[in-house]
Amino acid sequence: VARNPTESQTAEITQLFSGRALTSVAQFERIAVDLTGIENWPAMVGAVEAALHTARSAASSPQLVARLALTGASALDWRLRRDPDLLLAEAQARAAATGGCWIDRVQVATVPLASTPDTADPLDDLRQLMSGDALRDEGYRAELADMAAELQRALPPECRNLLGQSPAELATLMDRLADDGAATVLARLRRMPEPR
Amino acid sequence: MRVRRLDLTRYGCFTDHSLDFGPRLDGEPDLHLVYGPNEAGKSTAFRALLDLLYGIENQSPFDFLHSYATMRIGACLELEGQPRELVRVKNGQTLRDGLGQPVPEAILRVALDGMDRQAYRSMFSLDDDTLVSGGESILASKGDLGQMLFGTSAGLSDLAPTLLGIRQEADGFFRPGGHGTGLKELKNQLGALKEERERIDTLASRYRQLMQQRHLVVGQIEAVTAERQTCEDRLDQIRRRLAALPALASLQRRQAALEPLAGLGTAPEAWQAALPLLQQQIGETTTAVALAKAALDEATKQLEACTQDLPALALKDGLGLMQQLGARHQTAVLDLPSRRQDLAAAEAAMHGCLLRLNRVGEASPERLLPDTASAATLRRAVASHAANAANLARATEENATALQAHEVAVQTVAEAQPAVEPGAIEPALHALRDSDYGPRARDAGRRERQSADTLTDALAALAPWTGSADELLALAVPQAASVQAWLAELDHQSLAMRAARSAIDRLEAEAEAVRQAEPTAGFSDATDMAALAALRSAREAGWAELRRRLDLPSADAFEVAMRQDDLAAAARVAEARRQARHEEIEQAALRAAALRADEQARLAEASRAATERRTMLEGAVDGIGAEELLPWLTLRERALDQRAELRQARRDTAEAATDGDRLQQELRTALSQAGIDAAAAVTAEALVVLATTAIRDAAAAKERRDRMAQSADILAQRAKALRNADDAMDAWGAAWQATLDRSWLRELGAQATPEVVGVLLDELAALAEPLRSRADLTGRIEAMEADSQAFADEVARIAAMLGMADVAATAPEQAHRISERVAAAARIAAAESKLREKVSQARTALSQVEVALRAPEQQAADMFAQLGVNSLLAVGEALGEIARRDQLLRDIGEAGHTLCDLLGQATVAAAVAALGDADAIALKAEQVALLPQAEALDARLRDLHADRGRAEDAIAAVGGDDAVARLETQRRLVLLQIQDRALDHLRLRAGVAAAQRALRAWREQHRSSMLDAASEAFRVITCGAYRGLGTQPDRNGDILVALPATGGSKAATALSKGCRFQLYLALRAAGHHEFARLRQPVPFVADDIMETFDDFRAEESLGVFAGMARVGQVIYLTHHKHLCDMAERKVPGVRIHQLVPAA
Repeated sequence: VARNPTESQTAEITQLFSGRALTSVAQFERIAVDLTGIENWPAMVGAVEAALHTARSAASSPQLVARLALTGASALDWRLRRDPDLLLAEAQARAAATGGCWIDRVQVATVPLASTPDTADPLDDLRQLMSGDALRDEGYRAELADMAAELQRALPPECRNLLGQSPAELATLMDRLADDGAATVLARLRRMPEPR
Repeated sequence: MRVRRLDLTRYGCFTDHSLDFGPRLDGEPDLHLVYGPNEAGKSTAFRALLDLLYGIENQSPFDFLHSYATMRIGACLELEGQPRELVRVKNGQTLRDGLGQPVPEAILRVALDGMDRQAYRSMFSLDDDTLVSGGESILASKGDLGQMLFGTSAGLSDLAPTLLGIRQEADGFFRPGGHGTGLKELKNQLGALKEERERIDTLASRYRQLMQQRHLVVGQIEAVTAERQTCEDRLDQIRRRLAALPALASLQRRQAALEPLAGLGTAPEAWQAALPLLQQQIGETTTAVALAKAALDEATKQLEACTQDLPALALKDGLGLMQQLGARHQTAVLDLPSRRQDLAAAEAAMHGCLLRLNRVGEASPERLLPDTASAATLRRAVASHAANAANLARATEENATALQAHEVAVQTVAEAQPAVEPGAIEPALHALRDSDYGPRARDAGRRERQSADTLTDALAALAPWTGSADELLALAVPQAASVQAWLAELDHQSLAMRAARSAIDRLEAEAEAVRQAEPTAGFSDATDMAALAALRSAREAGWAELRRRLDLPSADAFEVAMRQDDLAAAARVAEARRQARHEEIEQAALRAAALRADEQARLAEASRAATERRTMLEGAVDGIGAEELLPWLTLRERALDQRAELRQARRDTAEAATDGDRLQQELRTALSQAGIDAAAAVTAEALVVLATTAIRDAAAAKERRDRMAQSADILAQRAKALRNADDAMDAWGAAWQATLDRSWLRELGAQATPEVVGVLLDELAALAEPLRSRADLTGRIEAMEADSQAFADEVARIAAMLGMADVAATAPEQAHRISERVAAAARIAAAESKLREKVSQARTALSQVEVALRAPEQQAADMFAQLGVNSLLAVGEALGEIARRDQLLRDIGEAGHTLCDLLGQATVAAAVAALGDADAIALKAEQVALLPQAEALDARLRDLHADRGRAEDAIAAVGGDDAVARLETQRRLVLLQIQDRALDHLRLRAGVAAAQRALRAWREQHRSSMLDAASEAFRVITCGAYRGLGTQPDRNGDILVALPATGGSKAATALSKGCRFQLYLALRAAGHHEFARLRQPVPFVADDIMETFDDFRAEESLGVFAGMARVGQVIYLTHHKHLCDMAERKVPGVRIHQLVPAA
C-alpha cells in the first residue's frame, strides 16, 4: 500500500473491491463518530482520533481503510459542511498519526442544534423556508427529477444505475440529496466565521 | 438617523452657511422644504449632505471657491436619538467630531444600516437622474437596487452571488449542452481508456503467435536435453569401467601375497607399541633396587654411633613453673620500694580525714563509710527538708488571706437589700423596644395627611364635575381605550372629509376649465337648410345656362353661384364638427358630476360618522367636551389612586396603634407579676425606664451572691492545702529518724541535724579514696613477697632431682645452669630421631622399587608364553610379521570397496562378474567416439536457450494481459470519480434550487407588504387615476404593472413620463416606510423631482411626503414658490427654509 493516500492508494482499494478475493492486507470499515455535545473544532478532531484508535485496535488486518460518518446534533454542523476539504485533511492527518490507517472519505450526517430562532438573522428565516415540507414540495421534486434526468442522460452507460434502479429508489435518493444539499448550501451562505 | 443642522462651512459657493432643521417635534411631520431660486445652491446643499455622509468625492466639482484642502462640511446629526456634532474634511482622516478628533466611519455606516453611497443615492437621495435610473432598476427587479428594495431591508441581498458561485461550482461538473465540464473530461478519459484497451486487443493475435513459438522452442530444449543425458550416461559408464580394471588387478596381487602368512597367530595390537617401553622399564627398575640397598646400610651405621643424657631430657618440659616464678621474682625485686612509699602516703591522708571527723581513735575507719543507698536517702532527706518547710509557711499565709476575703463577702451580702425576680420583664421589654409601631404610626400619619391634601386637589381639578371621591368612584365612564378609538375615528373621518372636499374642488375646477373651452355656436340649422337648397338650385341653374350658352357672362354667373354654394357647404361641415365637440364636453361634465356625486356622498357619510362619534364623546360625562374627555379620565384615575392611598394610610395608622397598646400591656403585666407597681408609669418611655431599673437591680444582687459562694470555695481549698503541708512535714521527720538509726550517725544523737549530716556526708565521701588505696597497696606488697619465696623453693627442688645441689649459688644462677643442661640433652635427642627417620625412609624406597619391577616382568612372561619365544628380541620379530599380514587384509577390503563403488555393485563377487571380460582398448575407442557427439549436443542446447530468451523478450515487448488489468482498474477509478462527483453535483444543485425557492418565497412575503404600500402611494399621487399596482408573472419572474381606474393594466414602460416618475416616487416612499419599519429611519432628500407633475398630483405627492415625514426626516429642495404655498396649505406643520443666493 502506498505511503500516502493518493490515487495509487485509491487504485489499490479499487482493486481490492473489484478483485474477487478480499485479501487480509487491508480491511474496510465504516466508523460512526457521534459529535453530540461537541462544540468546537479541536474537540471534534479529538473524537475522530479516538474513534480511529478504537477501530484500529479492533481491526485484524495490517491496513485499515476507514469511511467516517459524523453523526449527532452539534453546533459544528454548518462548519463541517462548509469546510469538507479541511475536515478530510484533518481526518487523514489523524489517520496517518494512528498508523496503518487510511481515510476513504468523510460523510457529514450531523444535524444542527435545535437553536432558538434568532429573529435578527434572516438566514434563520431562510432555513425555515428550506426545511421540512418545502423540500418535499411537488414542484421542487419535479425540478429535481428534471435535473436527475438531465444528468442521467449525460452519464456514461456504466453509471446509469447510479441514481437507483426504480422510481422509488430514485425518489428516496433525491430526498436524501435535497436534505444534504440544503444543509450544505445553508452552511456556505452563512458569512460569520463562528456561531458564537 | 436625522439631520438637525447642516453647516456648509466651506463648500461650493457657500462660506459659513448653515441650514438648521431643528429638532423633531412630537405630532408634527418632519417635513422640510428648502426654497431657493436658481443658482442659490440647492443642488450644492443636496450634494453636500451626501458628501458629509460618505466623504467628499475625489473629483468634486465644488472646489471652485474653496480648494480641496480647505473644504469643510459640518452637521449636527441625531444618531440613535442623541445629537452629535460631526465634521467632514477632504484630507486625512476625513470624518471628525466637533473638536476635530477623528471619528470612525463606522458610526455613519451603522446609522445608514450599511448602505453604500450608490445605494443611498438610488434609494433616498433623489434628483431627476437617480429617480429614473434607480426606478428602472427596481422595475427590472434586477441589479443591486432591485434586490435592495426587496431584499436589503432584511440583509439577504448578497446571498444571490454566493448562490451563483455554488451553482457555477456545480456547473463545473455538468451543464446541459455545456463544454469543458468535469463530466465531459472524465468521459473523455473513459473513451481514451477504452481505445487503449482495443489497441491492446489487436496485439493479441501477435501475442498468441509468439507464445506458440516459445512453446516450440521449449519442446525442442526438452528433447535435446534428454538425448544429451543418454550420451552422458554412457560416457560415465565407460569412465567407471576403465577405472575399475586397475583396481581389480591390485586386488588379485594382494591376495597372492597373503597366502604365505596364513599360519600366523594373533597378538594384541597394543603389544607392538608397548614392547620398547617394556624393555626400558625392566632395565631402569633393576638399577634402582641396587641403589636403595646401599643407602639403607649407610643410615643404620650412623644410628648405632649415637648416645643420650636421659635425666635432663626428662625435665625438658618440667622447667615452665621455674621460669615463670623467676620472671615474677624479677618484677617484685624492682617494684617493692615504690609500693611501700605509696602505702605510707595513703595512711597519712586517712588520718587527716579522721581528724576532721573527730574519730582519730577509730579502730576500723571503713565502718564509718555509709553504703550508697543510705547516702542517697540522707542527701534527698536533707534537700526535701528545706522544700517542705517553705511549703508549710506559704500554705499558712494563704489560708489566713482567704479567710479574710470570705468574711468581707459575707458581710457585703448581709448588708444588701433583698432584690426582685426579673421573670418575664426582660422579654416583654425587648418586644416593646424592637417593635416598629412608633415609626410606622408616624409614617402612616404623614401619608394620610399628604393623601388627603392631594385628593382634595385632584377632586378640584375635575371641575366642572363636582362631588366626593366615593361619588367619583361610582360614576360610570367609558374606557380610555374606547375613547381613544373614538377620537382616532373622529380624526380619520375629518381627514376623509378633507380629502373628499379637496377632490370635489379639483373636479369642479376641471369642469370649469372644460366649460370655458367650449366654442360658441354660430349657425342656425333650420333656416340655413332652405338657403343651402336655394343656393344649390341656383348653381344647377347656372350650370345648365352655361352649357346651353357657352359664353363669358354665363360662365361668370355660374362661378358666382358655385362659390356661394361651396361657402355654404363648408359652414355646414364646421357646424356639425362643433356640435360633436359640444356633446363630448357634455359627457365629460356628466362623468365629472358623477365622480363629484361620489365624493359628496363620501363627504356626507364621513361627516355623519364624525357627528355620531362626537355625540358619543360629549355625552360620556356631563360638562366635559370631546377633546377634554381623555385628559379628564386620566385626572379621574389619579384622584381614585389618591383615594385608595388615603384609605391604605388610615388602615396602617390603626394597625400601628393596636400593636403599641398590646406590647405596653404585656410589659405592665410582667412588672406587676414581679411585684413592681407600674401604675405611676403612664407613657411607654416611663415603663421602659421602670423595667430597665428592675432588671439592673436583680443582676447586681445575683453578682454579689455569686462572689460570696466563690470566696467560700477558695477558703476551703486553702485550708486543705495547709493540712497537706503539715502532714508532709511530719512524714519527713519520721523517715529522717529511721535513716539515721541505720548508720553510725545515731551515735551523734541530737547533733545529727540535716545541716550537720549534710557536711559530714561530704567529708565521708573524701575519706573513701585513702581507705581504698591503703587496702590495695597492702595486698600487692604481700603478694610480691610470696612470689620470691616460691621461686627459691622450686629451684632447690629441681637441682636436687638432677644432682646439682650447690648452696653457694643464688637461686637465679642455679636456675640458669639447669636450663642450659636441659637444652643440650634436647639437641642430642633431636639428632637421633632424625637418623631413625632416614633409615625408615631408605627401607620404604627399597620395597617400592622391588614392587615396581614385578609388573614388567610379569608382562614379559605373558608375551613369551603367547608367542612361544624366550626373549624380548624374538617377541619384536613375531609382532612385525603379524602387522604385515593385517595390512594386506585391510588393503584387500579397501580394493574390494573401490571396485563395488565404481561398478555400482553390492559385493566384490558381483562386481567382478559385472566387469566380466571388459576390454580396456574397446572401451577407450568407444569413449573417443562419443565425446564429440556430447559436445555437439551442448552447442545445440545453448542455441535453443538463446531462442527461448528472444521469444520471451518479444512477448514482453507486445505486453501481456497485465496491461489489460491496469486499464480496467483505471477505468473503474474514473467511473467511481464520475459517480462521486455526479452525486455531489446533484446535491449542490438540489441545495441551490431549494435556496432559490426559499429566497423567492421570502421575497414574495416581504414584497407583498411593500407592494401594498407602493400601491397606495401611487393611487394617492395619481389622484385616483390608477387603482394601484400589481404584479404579473413573466419569464424572468414577476414584473410590476400599473392598474388604471378605468380597468386593464399598463406596463411601466407604457406610462407617460410624469406618471412613470410618480410610480418611481411611490416605490421610494414604500421603500422608505419599509426601511423605517425594519431598521431605523434615514433622511429622505429630493431635489426638485416634481417638475413633470401637475399641480394636483404635486399636492398629493406632498401629502405622501408628509406621511413619510411621520416616520423619518424628509427634505425637499425646490425653486417653485407655489410648491411652498401648496405645502403650507396641504401639510400643517411643514417647515420652510429659505436658501438665500450666495453673495
